[in-house]
Amino acid sequence: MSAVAIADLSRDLARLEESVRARASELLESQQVRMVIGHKRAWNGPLAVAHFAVSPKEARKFAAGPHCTGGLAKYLLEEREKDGVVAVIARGCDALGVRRLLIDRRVDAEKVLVLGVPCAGCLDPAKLAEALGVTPAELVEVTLAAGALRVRLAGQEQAAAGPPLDKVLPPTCMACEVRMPVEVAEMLGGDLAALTALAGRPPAIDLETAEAEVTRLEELSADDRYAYWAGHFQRCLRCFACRNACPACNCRVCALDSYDPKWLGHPTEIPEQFMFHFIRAVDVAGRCVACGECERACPVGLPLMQLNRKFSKDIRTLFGVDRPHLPGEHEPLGKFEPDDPEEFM
Amino acid sequence: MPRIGVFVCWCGSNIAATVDIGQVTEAAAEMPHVVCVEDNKYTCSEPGQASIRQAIAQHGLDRVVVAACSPRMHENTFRKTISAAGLNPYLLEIANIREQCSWVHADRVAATAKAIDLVRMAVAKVAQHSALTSSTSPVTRRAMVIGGGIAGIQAALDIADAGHEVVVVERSPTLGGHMAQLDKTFPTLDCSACILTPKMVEVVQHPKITLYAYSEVEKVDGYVGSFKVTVRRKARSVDESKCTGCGACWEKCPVKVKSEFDLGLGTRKAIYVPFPQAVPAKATIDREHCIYYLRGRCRICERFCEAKAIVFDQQDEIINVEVGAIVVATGFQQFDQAAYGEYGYGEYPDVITGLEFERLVNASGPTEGKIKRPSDGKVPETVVFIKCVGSRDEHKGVPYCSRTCCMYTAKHAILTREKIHGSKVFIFYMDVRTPGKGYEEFYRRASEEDGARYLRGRVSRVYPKGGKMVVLGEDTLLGRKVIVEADLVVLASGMIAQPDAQEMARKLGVSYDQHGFLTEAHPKLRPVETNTAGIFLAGACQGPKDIPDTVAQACAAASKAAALLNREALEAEAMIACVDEARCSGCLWCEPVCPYKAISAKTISERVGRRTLTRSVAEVNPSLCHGCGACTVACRDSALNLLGFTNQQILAEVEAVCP
Repeated sequence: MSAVAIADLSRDLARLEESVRARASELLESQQVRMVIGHKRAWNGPLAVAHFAVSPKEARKFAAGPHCTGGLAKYLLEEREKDGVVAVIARGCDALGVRRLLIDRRVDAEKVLVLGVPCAGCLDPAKLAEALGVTPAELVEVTLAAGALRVRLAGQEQAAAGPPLDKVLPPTCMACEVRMPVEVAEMLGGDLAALTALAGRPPAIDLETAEAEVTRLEELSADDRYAYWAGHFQRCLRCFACRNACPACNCRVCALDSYDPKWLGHPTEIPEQFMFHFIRAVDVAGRCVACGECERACPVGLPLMQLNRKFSKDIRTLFGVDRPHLPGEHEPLGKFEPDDPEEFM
Repeated sequence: MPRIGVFVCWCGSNIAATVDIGQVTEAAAEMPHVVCVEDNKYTCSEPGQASIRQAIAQHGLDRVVVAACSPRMHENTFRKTISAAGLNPYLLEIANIREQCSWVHADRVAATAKAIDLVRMAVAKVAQHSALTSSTSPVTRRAMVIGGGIAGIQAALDIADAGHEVVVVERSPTLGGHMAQLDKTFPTLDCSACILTPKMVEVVQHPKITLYAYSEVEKVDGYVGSFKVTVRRKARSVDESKCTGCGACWEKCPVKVKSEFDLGLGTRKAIYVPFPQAVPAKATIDREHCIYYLRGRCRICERFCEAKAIVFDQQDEIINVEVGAIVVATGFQQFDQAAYGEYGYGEYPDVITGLEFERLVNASGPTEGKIKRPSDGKVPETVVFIKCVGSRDEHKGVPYCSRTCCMYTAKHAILTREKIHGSKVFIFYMDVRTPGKGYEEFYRRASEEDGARYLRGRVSRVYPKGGKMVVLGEDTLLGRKVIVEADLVVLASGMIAQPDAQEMARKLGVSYDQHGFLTEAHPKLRPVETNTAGIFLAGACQGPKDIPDTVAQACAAASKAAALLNREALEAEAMIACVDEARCSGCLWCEPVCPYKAISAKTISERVGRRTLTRSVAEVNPSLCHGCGACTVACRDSALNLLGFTNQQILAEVEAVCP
């Protein structure tokens, strides 16, 4: 990415932010929607937090940019029992998340308005801290300015130039195929040449590269693979952040919370930890939208997307469906087709 | 607290030789809630069953485990046993220590340990069992027969004779199907029309039968005992109630069209009945060819119709029919010869199919029964028949045998020799298959008495030369090439599924095989049932068949349908899926996985805080559910449970075996 493009990009992001605020204000003012869900700058850190604007005034706080990381679709579940339309400022992953909730009939299509925004990727604070040689906790403010990211660290008055954005993206954003969101009611921002051009580019890493780690794990012996996952799962806190962040984990009563039947045993036992993560991965298999929220939300950094990618890889090789989460694709699991092989019947 | 009795079966030496029964009974006695353990040489015998009944009374058992053979063998037996002793039949669990243990293991120690584990699982599971009851649904005492060929006709007559109403739906304008096109029938050489047309007439005269000819099944809803079928009655442009079939209209109609009934070898008019004995004898206007529909003028038929039956603006009519059982008799089509370019079918008029030969030799056919070759109307002197065209050929055709061609080719040979004196008949064949009463004798007659020359070998090419068709073949028995200069070549075409058989199968919710033939529930023991209760198969829609087999199968399907319609009410399966509405998210991912269309959405209201909200949840129709359990796997919420195999019951088994 050239310096000029970055300069244009930061200008585009500023325009996009203004457009989000204006459109949200307009929709709230005219009472076409009851609430707009988006991001706003946090008071205590570099990353934006979710923002739920119910008045035009609150709409002025909406932010856009690489610091707006967390997924937004899942919040619709909290609003599902109330009347009125809720708008979501949706990047590609958010839009697919909303689509997931619609297909799973957890949200009424008439009660959702999806406002699409193009996305250049959302930074990974761990990667950024590593690039700067600091801890993530020392990051105070990150903006995209001419040239590269500008980062202000704890104890500093002035922000200094940081690494380019594309060097500090998480793998999910690098492999993202929906930086221009699909199935949206409208796109915000108008003519954003640099951002649109960037979003329209093919992903920085292709499917094969994204699945390289899965392939490596597949080639391990069963014992080595067990040791690998046992090593990760023993660090799991069972906080269920992965489930809570996931738009495909949208059951009314989660199997993980169920007492009768009680699927999960005590978290100190490794097989029970396997059970937990397998339940989660199997329940989203074929329905995962590849947003990477589970992995992003995990406080101990478990590589959860590897489980999801293993399923999507299997779905591709066994059922010939590349991207079951994209519109127009056939969802191969959980459907009876008259042409299904009948060996089991 | 449950009181469980465990009954361990020796099965003679089948189990006892490999499993130490004494150890199993000792271990079972220690299992939770077990109050009585017995072993029997044959638990399924009457003394064995009596011991279960006695123990239930003596020990006040409320649940029973039988450790014996597969539940497929005797689960029903023991359900009846405990039911006779006053227990709900579903408070039973079978531990399969024969097929899943003694028969597949040799090591007595290990097999005994496994048998104990299997019993422990069954005990843990049965402790979670609850009494189940099945619902009943009434039966609509009417059957539908789809297809009006010989299979459909026979099935309809038999069901009607059993006293039930029958609705026959036939998509062409007349009953009869392929059998009406045939000339003589093997092996007795009686005239096809002579034996068929009386039955066709019987259908329309039968007080219990309603015939919808020129009609198609659009949609099938409902379930066994209560199907709701939508039928489209296509517009004939003729008022059936007025038309007398006098023939004035088609005599005067100026448009000649190739006749489908004669396979294009003859012509019909734009207003027509397919053949003189058609039933119902009502005219139909072919709107694609009628001048009035094409150019807005003519109406000659209307002018000459004394009954005033012509209705040019007639519309398709949609009717709904409720029936309790359906017999599918949709028949077959002839294999498309295009795959065999080397035989020149379609290119050379004197290469014809077996069915076309039937029309040529038929007295009511385009040549009035005189065998004349299509190109110049000459009577052929040398006729070559090529068998297995399409059949038994995995590369160009279908792998299966069409079962009729050997016999009809023998018949064609006999008819040729009989009708054309001095004619020569050559038959190229792979094998001659004559499995039927009088079939082998009939083939012998063709080859030995009537002088048909059977040559074992395939034909590589057929091409015209000087007014003849040169057939290049091989006689593999003599190991030499054969060249025959023929006047007429007849291809014994195989039978394949109807082009829309799969579409029909989907409408009905029945399965079909890789060739498009509808699949029976069991190839030997349930040959006319489908996997969908209440839907039965008759005739060639299930696979290639000749007339005797078709009629036999139609009678069988009719008896199954009549037995169903004779019942007052149908008892549904008790072990079916049920929905925990509190857990159900209403995602309805269970709906598409259900092979029986048993799941639908239902709206419920519930109080949330101070408001009453409505939401949709899944609902299982107990009459449709077969208890396959597919939905319970698809349900992420664990809101769906299969009664008799609930999540809790299965988990209890798992916990029992891996504590």
